[in-house]
Amino acid sequence: MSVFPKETIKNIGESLGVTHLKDEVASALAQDVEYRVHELIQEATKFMRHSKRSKLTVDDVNAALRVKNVEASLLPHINTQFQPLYGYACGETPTFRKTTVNGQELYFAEDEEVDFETILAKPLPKIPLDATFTAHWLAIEGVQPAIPQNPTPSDAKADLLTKRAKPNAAINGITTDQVDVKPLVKHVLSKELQMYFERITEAVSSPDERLKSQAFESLRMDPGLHQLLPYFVQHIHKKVTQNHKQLDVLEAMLSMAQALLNNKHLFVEPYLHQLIPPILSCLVGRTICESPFEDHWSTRHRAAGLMTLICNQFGKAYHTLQPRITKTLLRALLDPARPLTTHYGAIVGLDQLGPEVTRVLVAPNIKFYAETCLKSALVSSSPIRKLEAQKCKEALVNVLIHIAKQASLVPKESDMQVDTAPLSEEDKAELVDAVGEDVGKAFLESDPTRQGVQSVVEAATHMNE
Amino acid sequence: MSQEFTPPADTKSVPSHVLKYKDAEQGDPDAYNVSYKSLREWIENSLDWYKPELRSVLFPIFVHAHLDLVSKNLPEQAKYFMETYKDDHVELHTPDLNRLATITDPQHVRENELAQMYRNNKYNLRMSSVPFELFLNYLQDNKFMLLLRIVNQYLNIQVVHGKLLKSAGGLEMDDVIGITGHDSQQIEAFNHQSIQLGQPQMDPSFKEEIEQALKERDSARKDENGENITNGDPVPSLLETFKRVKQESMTDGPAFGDIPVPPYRGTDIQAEIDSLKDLGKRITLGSTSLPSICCYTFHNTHDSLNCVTATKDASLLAGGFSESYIKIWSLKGEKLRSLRNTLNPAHVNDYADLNRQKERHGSDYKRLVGHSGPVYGLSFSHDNKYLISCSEDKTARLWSTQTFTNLVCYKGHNYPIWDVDFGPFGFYFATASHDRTARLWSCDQIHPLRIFAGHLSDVDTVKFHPNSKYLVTGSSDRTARLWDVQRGTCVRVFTGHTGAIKTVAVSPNGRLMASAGEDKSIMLWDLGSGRQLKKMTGHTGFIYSLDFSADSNVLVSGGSDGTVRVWDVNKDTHTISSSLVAGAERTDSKRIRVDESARNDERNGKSKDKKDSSKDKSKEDEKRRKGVAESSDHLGVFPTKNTPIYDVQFTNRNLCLVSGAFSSPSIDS
Repeated sequence: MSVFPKETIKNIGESLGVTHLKDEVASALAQDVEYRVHELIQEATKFMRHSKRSKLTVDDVNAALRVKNVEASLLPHINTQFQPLYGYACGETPTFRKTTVNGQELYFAEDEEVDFETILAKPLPKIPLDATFTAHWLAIEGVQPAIPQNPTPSDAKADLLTKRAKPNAAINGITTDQVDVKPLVKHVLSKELQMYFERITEAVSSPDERLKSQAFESLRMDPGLHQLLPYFVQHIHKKVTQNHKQLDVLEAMLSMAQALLNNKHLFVEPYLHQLIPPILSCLVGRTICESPFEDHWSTRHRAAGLMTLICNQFGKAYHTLQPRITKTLLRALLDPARPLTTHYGAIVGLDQLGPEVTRVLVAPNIKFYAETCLKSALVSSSPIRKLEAQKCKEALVNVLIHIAKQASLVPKESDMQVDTAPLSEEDKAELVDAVGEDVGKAFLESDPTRQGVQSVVEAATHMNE
Repeated sequence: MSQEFTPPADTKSVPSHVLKYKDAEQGDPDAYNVSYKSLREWIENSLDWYKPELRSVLFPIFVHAHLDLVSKNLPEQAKYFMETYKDDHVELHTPDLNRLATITDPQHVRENELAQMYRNNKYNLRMSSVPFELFLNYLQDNKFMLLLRIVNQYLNIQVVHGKLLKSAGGLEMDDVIGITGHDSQQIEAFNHQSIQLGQPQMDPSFKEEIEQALKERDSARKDENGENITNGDPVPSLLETFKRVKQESMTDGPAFGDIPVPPYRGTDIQAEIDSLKDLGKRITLGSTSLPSICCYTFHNTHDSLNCVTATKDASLLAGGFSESYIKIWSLKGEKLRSLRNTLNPAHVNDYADLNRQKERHGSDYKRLVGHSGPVYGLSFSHDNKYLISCSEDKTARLWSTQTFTNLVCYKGHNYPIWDVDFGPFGFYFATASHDRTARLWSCDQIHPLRIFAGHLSDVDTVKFHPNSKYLVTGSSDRTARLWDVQRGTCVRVFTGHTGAIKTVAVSPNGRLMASAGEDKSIMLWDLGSGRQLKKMTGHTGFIYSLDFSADSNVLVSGGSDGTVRVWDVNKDTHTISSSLVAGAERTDSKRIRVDESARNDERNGKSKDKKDSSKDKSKEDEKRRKGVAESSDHLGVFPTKNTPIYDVQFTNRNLCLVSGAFSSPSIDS
């Protein structure tokens, strides 16, 4: 019933000379005592808070008693006459000891007997140091100076790290299919793991190719990297956002992500949401290199491949994953305000996701896209822009080739007869009409089959109708 | 308190014909449990569209069902009921839940203040008509007479016709006030009372004398520097500054004599001139120029230091201790010398004479002994000649910083006094006490002049408005209030905090107020409209102290987490919640219209802000990506080494002084 058992009340009663307390009385009292204690603690807490402490002291309780007008002090056995004893404060927490009397467990406050003689003979205790203060600059115009009085940046960083670990831990708690969220467990990385992490991150961005490939190999094969995974993901994220114009760093990070994804022993799923954004940035970023003539096209290809890998690997478990990515890419493609580099990344990304996707989403939009974005850029005077447009065109043609190829791989019965027929001018015109002039002609140069052309036309006109 | 508000016009109550008891239900101790459970299930299964509004009704029903069970002497059931359903309300009502859970006896219901508050006040809610009808029909169809009785007796549901409320009742922070017995609309109406937030008009003769003195100074300076000043003075003369400052601040201020103050003295003129000079040396702060912060760390206090304060000119520092004494240190590196007791005013003609009357050898600090309980609050007068202190011994004491002796002891409160604040022009001071009142005193009277009653729990902190016409108090009842000093009545109520308010600060321009406390968030309020402008989050512990910079552009806070944080006041984004998830969508930002005159005051600061807003945005996005739970207006955080910050304040020149007691990291934590 109450946190205080009846027996306690009875014992206290006996110690005050009230014997044979009835059971009902005792339990009623116990209930009331619990309430009073709660009330007292609430009051005492106010005193504690106003003293800006986090530990409740005897003084606080005494002050609360006084406020509540209760004329008794904390330890009644010292003073059985119910006289207030406000001057009393204990220097240290009173200790209770357990003893067993007649098979019953009893707790009592330790109350040593003190010999006056020895106390008087003792030398006086040392005078405690006086309260003083020291002054220092906590900040100078918003910058915290690095002086011994201020905490070191590493302390602050440790503080930050513990904060950052929390969301990760929370995610863990949820994905383990348990409804009740586990208490956060501070996990400590062993020294070896920390060293490993440092080595790997160094090696990955080092110019030494051999070292690099060894690092990736290790990331791909090592079975004991679970604990480091969040840190690696975090590292990739950080590096990509910091060095979004350095192609080599981005390349290295993509390789790192690939290695992590390929590691059979790792459970990457909880970190996908952190891993996908950097890869997407590599894919559709406006500029991912210093000069526009660098070969960022292959990096984008790489990222597209990785994206597809993720979709294939986790698409089954997360049904919304692929649609979300496709939607993002398609939006990037169809926004004429985006640069051509972004368009290129989007086309390549969609292409890699398979002809199914491009047939439904890209093909119907090719004509619109070619006319609004490509046409003007292809004849642009700027060589960069021209090159970019050229690349986009090539990518689009590739898309069409893939669509055509798929159509020829899965021949429909009704198409069997027309398969061998040569490509007529009529078909060509139809194609150019469906996908626009630039792309259409380029596609025809790849010497497609009639069936392929027809499937492309079908796909391209499907949506427009 | 409730008669201050007029009841709303269109309150619908439950038709009385349905209030017939079902005998069986009344006799059954499980009836509450059963009916509450099905109501809860029904609400959870209802349309998402109505859910938030319906949910808001659960908490009051929960509370009263629990109290009913306790009153009917069914502690077992009450306990079971509490344990089973309290999780629903933990988010918004934890303090109340903890207190309600301790109530286990009918006697306690009658005694407990919180229970009585719920019993005696109607809990106000707003609902739109469709959910309200649904709710009533559900209760009636299922014959949950006990719940209907609760709804009829203790709830005041105001039906809003037309559109659905965006987020109703208990889920909207504004409506937590349901607890205190007032609803938000009433508060809004209440907060419409007109107030004057400008500086008071000056005594005309005083103003004249200052202008005269300034004119003399200016002309003297001109003579000194010769011709270079005539061809374009880059530094405006003090007289011009004075006129401009007074012109700006005195619009919308109380008339001269509205707040009676003692007649001015010669030293007041000098003080006024000095403060004008400080104005020239003041560093303008804003989102791009952060303040310099000087930290005073106390050692060897063994948790006995309760409060610290420094003078506005950073010359003295005072600390109040649990051992009932106050210590004063000099911050200028010189020893403190008090005047001798044997001083005879007749022999003092000039400053040198006075100096001769001081102790020969000063001491590093002075100890002021007089209180008989822990000292909880300290405040220096504006001229730094007096210190007022308050204590657990129910008294406030006035001390002289010339003689370092106790001058007056003010008795009047019946319970410990938590906080004290000297008025901006001296002479008056205010105290906040455990007895749920704040009181106004003048130094020359030993009895209080005004008693400000209305808070429902301890008044934890009190601050004067810079024009001395108003007081701001913060309380454990989780509201802050603005009081008219002259009339002794409450003119604004600020609700929204989810924990006790431990500190408040009023901006020097008189337009804004910030409050903070145990819920670890700071709220910024517009005093004119009584509306919340924004909520600033980032602290991880209780907040002990707040202060605005002298130009009201920057707010600094310090607390038990041992950090000092700097906030941008002018960034008016209304952040609803800062999400921890990386790459989360930008939270809705809603600009709230600030009082037009306030905007004029801050025009300078704002135009600067605009320039940097794009830069800020990128910084802010970066922060979001990192997943820091700080709101966007957080300008900086400065951690200390295990030193909870007890006090933060700005000097006249915008230097920030913070102080706290070093606490050695304990073994058990």
